[in-house]
Amino acid sequence: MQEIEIKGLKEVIYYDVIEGLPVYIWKNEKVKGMISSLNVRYGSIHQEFRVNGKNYKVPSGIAHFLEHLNFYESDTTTATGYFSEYGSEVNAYTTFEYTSYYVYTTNHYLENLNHLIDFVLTPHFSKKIVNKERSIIIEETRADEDMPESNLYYTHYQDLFHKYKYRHQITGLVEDIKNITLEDIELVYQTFYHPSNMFLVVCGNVNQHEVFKLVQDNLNKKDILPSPIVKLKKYKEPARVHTKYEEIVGNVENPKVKISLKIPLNNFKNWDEITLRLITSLIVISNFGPTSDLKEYLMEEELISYMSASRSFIEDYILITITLETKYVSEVIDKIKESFQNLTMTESNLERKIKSTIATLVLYYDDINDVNETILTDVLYFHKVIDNVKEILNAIKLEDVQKVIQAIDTENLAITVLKPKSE
Amino acid sequence: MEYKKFELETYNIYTIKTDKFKNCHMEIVYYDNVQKESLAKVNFLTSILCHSSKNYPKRKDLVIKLEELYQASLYGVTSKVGNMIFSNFIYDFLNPEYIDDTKYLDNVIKFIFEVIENPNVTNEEFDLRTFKIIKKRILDEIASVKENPRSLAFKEALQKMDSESITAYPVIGTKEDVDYITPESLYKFYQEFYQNSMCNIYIIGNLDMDKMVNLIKENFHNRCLKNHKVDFYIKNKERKKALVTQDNGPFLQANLVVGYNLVNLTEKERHITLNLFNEILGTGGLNSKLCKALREDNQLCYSVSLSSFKYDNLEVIHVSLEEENVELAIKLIKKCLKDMTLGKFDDEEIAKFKKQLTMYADVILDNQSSLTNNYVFNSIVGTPKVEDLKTEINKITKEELIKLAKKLKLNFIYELKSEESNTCKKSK
Repeated sequence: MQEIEIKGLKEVIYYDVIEGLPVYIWKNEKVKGMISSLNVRYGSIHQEFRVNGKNYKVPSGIAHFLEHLNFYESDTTTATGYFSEYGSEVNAYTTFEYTSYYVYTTNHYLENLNHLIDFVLTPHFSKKIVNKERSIIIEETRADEDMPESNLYYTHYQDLFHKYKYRHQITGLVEDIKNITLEDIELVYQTFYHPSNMFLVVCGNVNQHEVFKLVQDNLNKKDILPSPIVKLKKYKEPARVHTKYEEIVGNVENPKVKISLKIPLNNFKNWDEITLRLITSLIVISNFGPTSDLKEYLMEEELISYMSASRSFIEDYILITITLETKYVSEVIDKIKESFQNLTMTESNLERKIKSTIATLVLYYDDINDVNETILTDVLYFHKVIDNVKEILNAIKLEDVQKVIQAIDTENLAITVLKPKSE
Repeated sequence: MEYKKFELETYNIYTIKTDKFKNCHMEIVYYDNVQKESLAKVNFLTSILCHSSKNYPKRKDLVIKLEELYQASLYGVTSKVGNMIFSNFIYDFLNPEYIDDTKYLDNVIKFIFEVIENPNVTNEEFDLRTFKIIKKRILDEIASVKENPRSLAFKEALQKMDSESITAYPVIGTKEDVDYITPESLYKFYQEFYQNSMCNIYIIGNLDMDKMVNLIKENFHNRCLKNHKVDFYIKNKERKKALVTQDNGPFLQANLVVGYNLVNLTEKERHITLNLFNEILGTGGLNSKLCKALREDNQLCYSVSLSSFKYDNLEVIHVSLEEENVELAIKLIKKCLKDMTLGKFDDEEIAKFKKQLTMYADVILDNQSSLTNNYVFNSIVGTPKVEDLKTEINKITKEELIKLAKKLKLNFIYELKSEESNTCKKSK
């Protein structure tokens, strides 16, 4: 067992690898609850892969379909029944990049954790349950299609990317869901649901020794087959956006807009990715957040009713995305473009943003769900817990930020506008 | 956890001292009886006060100040609960022990009361620019209800149930209400509302609460005595025959909303038994009766929700599904309710849901906002504190659940019909 000290925050994460499964534990004896998430490095974008020399292509939406099916313990019973005996909450979600199964409880945490591992690693699939869940998933997908933001979100990814599977809905389209077979499900499960392709995060009022022992005992009892050699298809995504400007119509009262800068990671070859993530985040919040001159101007001139900004790392690209609600689409887009071209940071602003970001880091440790999510994100992208975020933040200088700003190509934009049907 | 009440002349301070959190949570809560004509004003006021103040006249200035206070956060929430209107100022700040600044706590407390008591007002009118920003935001929020199938179906269903009922009246008001408000009338209302409404302050954190009370007394100038009665409940009209209505909607799926009156509930039924009843019927996830019947056994939907408006004496079920399945869904919903009155649930089921509720109660103890919410209703209405709620839930009997089930009377069935065209057609 390794103790990872989170520098400057007086927090410790316990870590070990058991039968190939990386396990991370954060202990907080002051709270009542425990959340355990068993995370599989398999999400909706992983549709093409090579196993034992053979290429496979599976339908869009299969990761999410599998997540639904994996709860079944027989044709008529699900894991939910087991957890309800303890009053625990069990659920799962699928993202582009991973699938997470989690249980939240305030009692009998070892039994709950044990069963979480059991049900995820002991599949029961049949044609009967595939067909049953298919109908439910189609309803879920149609409900999602009724949300205008969802249409804007996926269309925007289609405008940004040529090849990446982020273009596809996580649930798949109704036609995709209709085409998923039992064989597809079994193939994906056998390929990706191995302890070495997963990681477990346990946060809350737990004893780390008990948890490690339980995981060891549980996995020892299982006949875990060696993990196959899997090669995920790597897509060569062109640097330019797929579509510079697109308008769609939907059931909205005011136009909603997404504007993203697509920035190749290649522009930042000499940068450490964690530092780059922190700096780009500081740039985005300073230039487009609530203390920015731009947002103040757009609000005061009554040009927007909503605006948010985010930064994400997607494979070989960084995206800076601004989401808006505005009646003055072209005027506001021009202002955003102008701000992209004039990205800025002052010494005082940087100092204040770093200080407030560090305060946020401290507060993460008030909530076991937030800690679970932070560890999950670190391990997913970096295969380790980042223990020196505070140190990195404190070391960031204005010149570093300016260098990053200079390397951002501010012309490579995709703009998607969702307009009301009446327009 | 140490609960304490400080009775001051014109307001009370309720504290929970605990070392569980690094954050400190404070809520300044104004509440009163709902007046339909002033709902929009209360919401406007709460929003405008949290947007900026005299000393921080722009939104940006106020957010910078919050960042300087180590990422403190402040937001306002207006809510309508039965016959009560609440205007809450919710404020979170880091525990001073993590900060090397002896004046931190004084500055934090000074700031929140500066925001509430020193608004951006000149010549007895709210600053026009700020006023316009907030007005635009609220009008857009009112309009956006039409974008969300569930929100639209709920709104229309309650309107059709009884457009005169306070339950049906939106907490943010209507476009007409908002258009009627001026910077001058809003300031006048500001003076009235915060003078006349009841006020409590709630604080949770690892703080010296006596010191906190002194700091609040120094900075908060609430000087108006109030002792009028606040009524909690609304009695929505019952119907001998359920009202069945429908509208055409713009969505792919149909949205079904079914409402039941809660008739003559005792206080115990309302605040204790109803929690367990709702878990068994619909809020208890995949194991609940509604979810089993509609999703698991018949695959009609992805989810079915049960919303309990216990202060409005109303229970509302919502489901989005295919048009052709609406009739079957109505039959199944009615059957679930009927089964509850016939006691078609066993002791094992009851025990499971009791455990689930006990777990939720424990979750409240780990969350400052939920703890505050529990304390607010405990102090105002007399609902049980979370620790007592756990004990009381475990005493509920099957007979009590059946008795409660018989007090649900079908009031309305509303359908927002689907539109069989795509909601999003590309037009490059």
